Amino acid sequence: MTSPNDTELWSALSRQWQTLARDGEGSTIALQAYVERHRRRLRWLRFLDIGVTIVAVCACVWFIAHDRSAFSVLFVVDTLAVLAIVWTFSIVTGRGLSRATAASTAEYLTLARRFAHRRLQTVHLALALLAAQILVVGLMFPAMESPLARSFPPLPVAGTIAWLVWTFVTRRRALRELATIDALDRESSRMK
Amino acid sequence: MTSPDPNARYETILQEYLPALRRLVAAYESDLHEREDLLQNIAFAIWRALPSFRGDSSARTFVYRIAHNRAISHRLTGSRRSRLIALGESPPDIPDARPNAAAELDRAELGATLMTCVRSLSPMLRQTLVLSLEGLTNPEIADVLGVSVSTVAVRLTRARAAVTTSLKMPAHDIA
Repeated sequence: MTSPNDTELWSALSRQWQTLARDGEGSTIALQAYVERHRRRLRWLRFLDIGVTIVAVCACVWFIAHDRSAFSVLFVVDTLAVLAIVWTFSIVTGRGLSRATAASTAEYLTLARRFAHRRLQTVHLALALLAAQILVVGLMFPAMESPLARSFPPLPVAGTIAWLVWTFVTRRRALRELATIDALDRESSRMK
Repeated sequence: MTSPDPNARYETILQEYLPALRRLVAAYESDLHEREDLLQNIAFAIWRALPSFRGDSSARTFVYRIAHNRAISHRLTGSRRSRLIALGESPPDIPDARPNAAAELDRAELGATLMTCVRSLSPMLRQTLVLSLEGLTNPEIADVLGVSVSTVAVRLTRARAAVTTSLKMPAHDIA
């Protein structure tokens, strides 16, 4: 058995390592095509966020212009409040994260922890918004006479279930990430 | 690295470091599809970070830093598929597309064995050893990882001891 620090052995292994994938499959063209596709996708997602907000605001304006009932007012106030909360949350918690880069792996772990915590905060906000919506519906809608309020379509129920599933999955994922980061931090500090 | 065209600069970096990135990706992911996913993630992250690269460090440490950080991120958000492999599925190995592969069978086997040994290391040891195998000096590795040079030395000693034990072969078989 050779010493782990055997220079000759490790020089040979390093040379051997560097022959791996030297003429491997694929080229930079495919990667560059992927990068271009991903750039376009991100740009569209940004437009989509803004587009959905504009559509929701326009719908509120149209709704209040055509129906001045208590239900319409509540619907519009509720929608605008949710939009304001979500955008404020997104801007406040996302500050410094959108184009964050880390100078080292140690810094990257700190950044990854911030991302995971932000995901947990998003879950908490989503649950708080859902509770607020259920409260609004439970307290206000029974007293209203609007046909829309009375019909109570199945869509809100399906939406609530989907919302709950999303929060459950996201929370579990964020907790798993935090556990992995903790393990990496522990391993890192053990070897200092 | 002083090319004014960012696309040309990106292409140059990608071309120069693609084999190293493929080795790095293979050290983190044994599944072929996961490897491709990770490689694409790294390529995108390099493109995104390139405008902020002012040449304070070498292009090599810049690329390896991004690549290793992305690899860690990939593990944090790893798919069910890669977790299943991590739990003990038999992993397909990195392809060796060199000509005359039969003539180099022993060396190829050694390379594959080395890759398997590297994969079995803990993330921090693996990261340090891969950078060392790529030819980075201890101060360069310390720069990439954000730790002291003495920490790098400690990790390298442990990683090398673990790999040497796994390989269980005398030095003359390799050199």
